[in-house]
Amino acid sequence: MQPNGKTIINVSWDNPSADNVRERGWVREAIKDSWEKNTNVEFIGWEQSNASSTGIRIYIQDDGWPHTRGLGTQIDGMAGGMVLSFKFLGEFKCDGYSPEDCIKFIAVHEFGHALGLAHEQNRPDCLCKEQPQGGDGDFYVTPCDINSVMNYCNPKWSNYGELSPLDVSGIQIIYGKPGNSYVTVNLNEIKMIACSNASVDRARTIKNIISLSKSFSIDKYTEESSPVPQKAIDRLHSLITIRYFDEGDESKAENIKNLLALQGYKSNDITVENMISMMSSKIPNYIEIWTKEATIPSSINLDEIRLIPCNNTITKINSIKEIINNSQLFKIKTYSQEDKVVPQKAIDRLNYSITIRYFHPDDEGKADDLKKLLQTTSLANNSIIVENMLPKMSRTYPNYIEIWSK
Amino acid sequence: MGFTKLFILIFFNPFHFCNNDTTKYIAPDELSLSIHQYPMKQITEYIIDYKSIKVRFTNRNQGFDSVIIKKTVRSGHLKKLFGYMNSFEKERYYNQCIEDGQIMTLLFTNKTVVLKKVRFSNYYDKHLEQIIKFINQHVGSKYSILYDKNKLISDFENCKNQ
Repeated sequence: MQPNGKTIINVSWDNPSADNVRERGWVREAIKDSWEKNTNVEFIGWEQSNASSTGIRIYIQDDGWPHTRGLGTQIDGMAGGMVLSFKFLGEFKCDGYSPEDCIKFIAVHEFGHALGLAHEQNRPDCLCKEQPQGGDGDFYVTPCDINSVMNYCNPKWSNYGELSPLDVSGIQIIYGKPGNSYVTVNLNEIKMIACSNASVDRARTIKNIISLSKSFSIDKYTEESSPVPQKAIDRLHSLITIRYFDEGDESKAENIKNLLALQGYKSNDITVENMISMMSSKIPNYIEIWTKEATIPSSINLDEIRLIPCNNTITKINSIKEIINNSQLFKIKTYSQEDKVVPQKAIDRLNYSITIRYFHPDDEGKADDLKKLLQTTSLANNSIIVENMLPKMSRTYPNYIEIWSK
Repeated sequence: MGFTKLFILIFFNPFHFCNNDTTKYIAPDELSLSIHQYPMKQITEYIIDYKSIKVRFTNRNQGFDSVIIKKTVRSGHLKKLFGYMNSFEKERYYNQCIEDGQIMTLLFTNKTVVLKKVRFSNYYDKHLEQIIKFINQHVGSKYSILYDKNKLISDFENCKNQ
């Protein structure tokens, strides 16, 4: 990192040759026009690696699969930390596009990994049909972005090498804007107050956004640990409320609002509140950020979920029901529960700790979404599978799902 | 409730686990191995049934889908190959340290009904290796699959140490 906040990353080639000068130039050009253009990062070097090379080391494997062997600093100085194909001689083909396009689009995606970005479709809130792949990263900096260069679900693969608006704002959170014109906002303390367990993640994401932004210098973050009274929650008019307690902090609160809006939060969901008149004394350089959950209209409907606990797993099945109930994504008309003892033969057929069975083709996505939901909770340690029961049924049963636990 | 009534209720309840108990094992009559070219939206699919092996190429961006080659197979080995279905207990086998790379989906079907779907992401598996060997024996060098056991295993070990 340079004093002006610019991040300098060395790039080198493990096995360059004279016959791929043009292709290496395409990679450099693609990175200059995407990541370098939009964030305060400069990639330098681009020469042959040696044993002491740091940063990104690229191995050219023309019959190989483009990949990186980790995210961000995990590949710092690692020989072959990034692998690119220029001739596409193996199973990985470049059909339907020019070699220049394939090389550039793929390079932009792989450099995203080198900058620390995981695959966007790994996020449970993306509700994307592509399976997760690779590492999950540590935190989110924007809402799920279908247009991201890092999203397998993007209909334009690698977004054709062009960063989406959310890619740009997300990477700027981490590395800053190009040219580095930071306006530093100083605060002694930001207190995060999550009004429910469900809003804790949102509070932590906001904290990450602020702490990663080079525009803010916050001495300490604190979290409210005691439950928030319902009366206090009822007074919040927005999902995110930023409260300041001294006139001098009004602009700082507005700056936080602007930062969050830049990251895709809707301005309507953020309120800045002046608390001075409610206090006996002012508290300068202190801001509170309150988060609460919205009442979102349910978007996934089912007539019935039947819960089938095996081997005394009533507690687990009750947790599953509670999680689905608490999720505002699902609208379930009826829950029924199997109260008979499940025969051992049926239990033996369950290879997973939680089995979600669907009985109509239209319900496959709903079953997958249920699985994704459970994987984001305390039940994530359980093995979970979605099973298609259609081959075993003489007719279909729409809007009906069974969840077996053992 | 008397025993007879209970029996009728269980017998006619389509969702009841007892109904599942009577399900017989269905053997696959086709397997396909799809090789995904992420982040591109291209898939090369190797489809094996008791008569032939086909290689199909799909480009989901540009909407084309074509069978590149079709060859007859010796069916003697296929029962063993299809029998590998039961050896895959998980639906995903992966090296979580590798971003992109060699990603494959193995699908066992019977009359188009999917019996098992397994995803391999930069992962070595001995049964998958046998399936790939069978494919490579039939499709020729141009369409053969590079499955580098040593590299996959060493990358996996490195990942555990990270």
